[in-house]
Amino acid sequence: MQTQIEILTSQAEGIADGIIVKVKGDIDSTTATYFSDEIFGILNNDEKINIIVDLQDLRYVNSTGLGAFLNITKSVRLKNGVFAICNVNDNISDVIDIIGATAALNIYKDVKEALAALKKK
Amino acid sequence: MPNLILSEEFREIAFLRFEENERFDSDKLNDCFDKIKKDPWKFVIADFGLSSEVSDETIKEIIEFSRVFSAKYFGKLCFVVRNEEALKKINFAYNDGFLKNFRNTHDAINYFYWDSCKEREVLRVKMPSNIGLVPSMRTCVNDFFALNGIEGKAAFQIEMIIDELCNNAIEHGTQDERKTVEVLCSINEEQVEINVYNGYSPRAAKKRSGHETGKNMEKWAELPNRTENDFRGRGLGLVKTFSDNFEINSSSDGTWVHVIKKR
Amino acid sequence: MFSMAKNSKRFSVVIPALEKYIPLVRKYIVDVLMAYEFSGDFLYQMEIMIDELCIKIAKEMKRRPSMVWLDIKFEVGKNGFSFDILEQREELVEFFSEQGEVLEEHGIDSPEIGLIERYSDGARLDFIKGKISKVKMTRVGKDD
Repeated sequence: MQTQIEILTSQAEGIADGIIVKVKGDIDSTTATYFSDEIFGILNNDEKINIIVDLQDLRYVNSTGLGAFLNITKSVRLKNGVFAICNVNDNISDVIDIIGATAALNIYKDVKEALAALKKK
Repeated sequence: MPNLILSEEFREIAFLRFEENERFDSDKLNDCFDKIKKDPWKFVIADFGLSSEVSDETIKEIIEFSRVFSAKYFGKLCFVVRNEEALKKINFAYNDGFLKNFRNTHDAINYFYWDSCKEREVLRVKMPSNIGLVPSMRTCVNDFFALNGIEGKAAFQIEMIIDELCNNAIEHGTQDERKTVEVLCSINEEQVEINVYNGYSPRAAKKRSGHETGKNMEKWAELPNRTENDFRGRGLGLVKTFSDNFEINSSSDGTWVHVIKKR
Repeated sequence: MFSMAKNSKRFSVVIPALEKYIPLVRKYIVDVLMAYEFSGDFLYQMEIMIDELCIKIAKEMKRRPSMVWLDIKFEVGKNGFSFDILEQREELVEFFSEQGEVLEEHGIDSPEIGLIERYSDGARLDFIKGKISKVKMTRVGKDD
């Protein structure tokens, strides 16, 4: 079946082994695996360990999608990298807070803030 | 003896259940009718189930009650009769089509919701049990609620409720496409109501308690402690958080989740 | 009349027969067909046909005394797609079964009928006093 998600990547300027991933669409039970596979592909094959995911065009995410974020965060940390998300809309932010994942995820206001934070590390 | 079950799940529906081969008992029947008249029950389901021996007197009393119930209390009564002989008897006793018959209480309940359409808007969607079909179902329900004034945060939360419940119905139920998942939604001025079924059978139903977890879903309806690192099973917790009323009912055939969200 | 294979997938949508809901219904059916990878042309044709039929029924329903429903059943199978719209309201269904007029393979001068003739491989339409009340059509194959 067709996915309802688009993933675009671009170089993260000034960050060693860094990449910016822009997500458009929905991350739900049908697209979470595709999303995870793409990120793990970047992590393992491209060896990019500092990943900033721009969620400005992410319309919807469910618990499966958030589970994927947490799983990826953990895996990237094991490689001494950082998995950051930014431009999280209010609705998604609420859900992250409800499930108690705010502390577990690296959340930034926007790409600029995420880049600045990663440069310091 | 007929049993009058006054449902908490369906505030407006009273279930009048008759045991197999029940004998006519006018006093007991009229006691039930009096209780129904006192409370604001709008719909009565006279459930004879598989009974083949239904007394003429019982049928006559019920029909008489239904006419009063309709005329004075603006209520409706329907039958649930599965036995062909009993059905013939009931049809013979009245042939003006005033009373409806259904094969099961689920259909009778659905009929009630359709009939109160003047007070609420209703959507029902049934699809094969396939995760890949959940996004289109979600969009359909989303659009339905949007057309009825649900927007912003409420719209997002309702979309998540539908998504998580459908996913659970399929993942914890069956991923066999020969099975179906059914979503029944309604909306009025006060609230949104969502029911998700995956083969649930009212006859075999057990009301969930803290001890009867069936598919172990109850555990996941509570959001984990924030220090836990368990990444799975938060969906039902989110549903419960976003709902004003949340119930899970299970039977050997499947599960029915009922959610109310106030506007 | 072509019948779907045993392993076809069945769907059902029941909704008030109001014009405002027609885009939602149309979109849902097309989304499902897209999920099953029917071709773009096929989707476009089905969308137009469903839209025109549902709009017509919804407009007709406006004149009925009480709320009626669009009860749409459709099946998706390897061999194609089958689609069935029937009024839900009990008294109208009964009325239809007693007095419905069946018109098959008759060309009737209206766009909806033309679309059905053009885009389906088999169709049955039932009318009550000249108004469409039931449509069943089938289209074989996933491509144009």
